[in-house]
Amino acid sequence: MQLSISDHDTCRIITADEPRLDAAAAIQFKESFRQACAGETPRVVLDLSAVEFLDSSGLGAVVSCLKLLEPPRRLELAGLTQPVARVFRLTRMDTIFTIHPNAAEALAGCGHGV
Amino acid sequence: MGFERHMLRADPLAVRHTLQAIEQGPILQAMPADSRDCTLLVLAEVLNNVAEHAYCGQGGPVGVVLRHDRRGLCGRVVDWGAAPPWPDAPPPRAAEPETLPQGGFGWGLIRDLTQNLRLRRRRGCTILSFHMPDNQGAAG
Repeated sequence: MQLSISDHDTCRIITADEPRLDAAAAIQFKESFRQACAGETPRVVLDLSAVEFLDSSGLGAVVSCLKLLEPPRRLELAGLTQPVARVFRLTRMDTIFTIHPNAAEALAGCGHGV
Repeated sequence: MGFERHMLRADPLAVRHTLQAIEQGPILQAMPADSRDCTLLVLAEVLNNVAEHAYCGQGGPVGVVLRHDRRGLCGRVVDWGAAPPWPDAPPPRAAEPETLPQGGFGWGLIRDLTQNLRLRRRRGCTILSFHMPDNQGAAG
């Protein structure tokens, strides 16, 4: 899974660039995220707007990313497409993440536009 | 109406390629987007379970049959791997979200999205069958 990074003062946006976060991608995604999140920005936003398919392995990988960040850093999500949002909703994992409609609104939350 | 049959090796990449083929196939292309997404998710969970548990990550054959009739879509997945430890019913749900579970979501998703879910063992193979309800958008 290819990830891109953009830094905005207190917030790092990590964007998933591929359409499938599935069992075949989960392990490599975790490793890519581990490298991408290195740093000290208090907020880390994972932008999933390019992901059209997420299965339970992909969901588990996103949860592991949440656990990877040491407080006070925290992981937020942005841009869940409908099939991805459904998996979060059905498993009730939407209750443990702050989820923004898109990356721009995630940034607006800390006082930065794009 | 329609019928499709796929045979694959149960490993994550082959599962991905088969799901992509099924997505482009006539049966799923005739379904509304929400129902199509839910069907692909259920098949992903079932096939990944087979790869991970029935064949313990060693790979093995698995067959998928999809049939669309007046009642909606009926799916059947057959494998020749180890018998599931729960012959009569799927296992319980994943842990509560607050405990940050990293797995165990699959069966909950399968149960939430299907009807008439049935798992049985016959002559050395495991057969899982299910229906996808037509009003998936409202349910999921």
